[in-house]
Amino acid sequence: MSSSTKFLTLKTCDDKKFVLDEAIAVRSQTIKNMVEDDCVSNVIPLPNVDSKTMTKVIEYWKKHSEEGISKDMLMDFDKAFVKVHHSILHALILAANFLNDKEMLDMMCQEVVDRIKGKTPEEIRKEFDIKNDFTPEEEEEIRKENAWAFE
Amino acid sequence: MLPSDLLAEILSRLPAKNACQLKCVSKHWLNTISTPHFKKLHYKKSIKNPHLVVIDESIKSNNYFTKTLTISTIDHLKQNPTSNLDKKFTIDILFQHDTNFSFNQCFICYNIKDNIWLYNLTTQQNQELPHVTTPMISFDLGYIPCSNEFKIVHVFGKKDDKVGYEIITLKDDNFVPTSWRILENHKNLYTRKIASLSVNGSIYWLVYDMQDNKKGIVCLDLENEEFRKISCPKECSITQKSLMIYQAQQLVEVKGLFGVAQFSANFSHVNIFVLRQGNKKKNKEEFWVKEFSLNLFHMGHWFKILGFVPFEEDNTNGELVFVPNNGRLLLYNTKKGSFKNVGEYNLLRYKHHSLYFDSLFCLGSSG
Repeated sequence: MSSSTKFLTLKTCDDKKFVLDEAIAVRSQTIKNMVEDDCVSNVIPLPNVDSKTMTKVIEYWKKHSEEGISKDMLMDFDKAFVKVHHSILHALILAANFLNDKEMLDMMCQEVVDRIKGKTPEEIRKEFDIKNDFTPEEEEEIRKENAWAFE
Repeated sequence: MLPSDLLAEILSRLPAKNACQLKCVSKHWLNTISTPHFKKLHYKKSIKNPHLVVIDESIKSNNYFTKTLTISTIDHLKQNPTSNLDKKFTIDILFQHDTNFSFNQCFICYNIKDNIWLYNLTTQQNQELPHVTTPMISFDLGYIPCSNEFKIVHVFGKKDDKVGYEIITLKDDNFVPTSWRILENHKNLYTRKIASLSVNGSIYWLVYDMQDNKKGIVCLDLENEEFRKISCPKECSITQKSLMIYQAQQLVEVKGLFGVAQFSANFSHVNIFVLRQGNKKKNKEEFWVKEFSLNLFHMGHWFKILGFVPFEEDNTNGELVFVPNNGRLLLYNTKKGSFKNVGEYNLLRYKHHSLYFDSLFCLGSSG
């Protein structure tokens, strides 16, 4: 490359700053659009992402931008990367959605799908800490209406 | 808690049955799964993950006047092609009666004598439709994506060798209407049906036109219920005698468009033509494009095309699914240009096979 490496500073909602190679940061379509539209001053604010989540995102971006990394190595990395508590998984999905990184969003969503597959509603509530806000009668009604699905 | 749009993105990747169970996780999940947007999303993903349905015909050992039709499925054709046949449903009919089938999404429309039935492979519901006008000639189940409706078109015989059409409209979450609606003012285009296929809101019949003494295509646009005539692709117009079990011309859906597969006389080659539409605003002329030209030499002696399955990430490429005479599924990857055999079962022992996919379209409940 003829031009020297450009760096961007990303600022998360908890006021932490991350300095990142622009070539890596533009994995985010949101940041890419901002850079292309020239509406980037020195610091890019990311009001929807906290520093803990952003650290994970940058870890993912850097690994996926490494030169000469093999497909198998990336697969192993991805496998380990998604093995996190569901609260972090949710935060990463929201971040990937805001940053508009389709590849990452797709991977995180698939991980949730894999965790849901084959589980009963009770098991899912437990896994994802979801409160059952139906009355027993309401729940019975839904089960009745969709009886075929519970056979 | 994930917002509804992201939750929908996740849950729409689940099989219909699984997604419906999860309606009772919480109100947020129920609301997400119940929206038309969710159904659309699910539909888009579901068509890329087809299953196979096969129908077997056997004579009852204790009653020679009866035969049994067995409907079985093989799930997740692409991910798990060696999985077992899953027997879903059996029908006993009198031996002399012929049963016809029309497949669409997860629905099988079939007749027992003069009554038409509809079986849902996802919910396993089976219901009888209102009585039809007789004599029954044929019926086809078509889907209109933009309005999320099915229409069944029944063709019946009239005096003087003429035919009539009647239609029944099936809406999501609604009961089946109590009667058929006669289609007036149609041109008498239907002659001898060779094959039919429903694609993207239309039903196409490959017919033998007695007047011209050649094959032609009749199309019914299901939304405005208008007929039109389409000529076969030029290279197909030579009338060919089909000595094989399967026709040398087969109708196929490719990339969401209507297509005709034209096999060479010895089935060593197939050209697949797709009907495209001009993009000029006023002049929406239709024309045939030769989409694929495949060499089938050494692949088998004859073939049935089951369909085209687009790739997950790329709608312009996918796999063409064939059943050759060795009975094992054959997939052609349009991107790589290569063939691959899948599955261990012999599909030739089944009289009918079709691809189908899961759907959240439901009949019967009031809504």
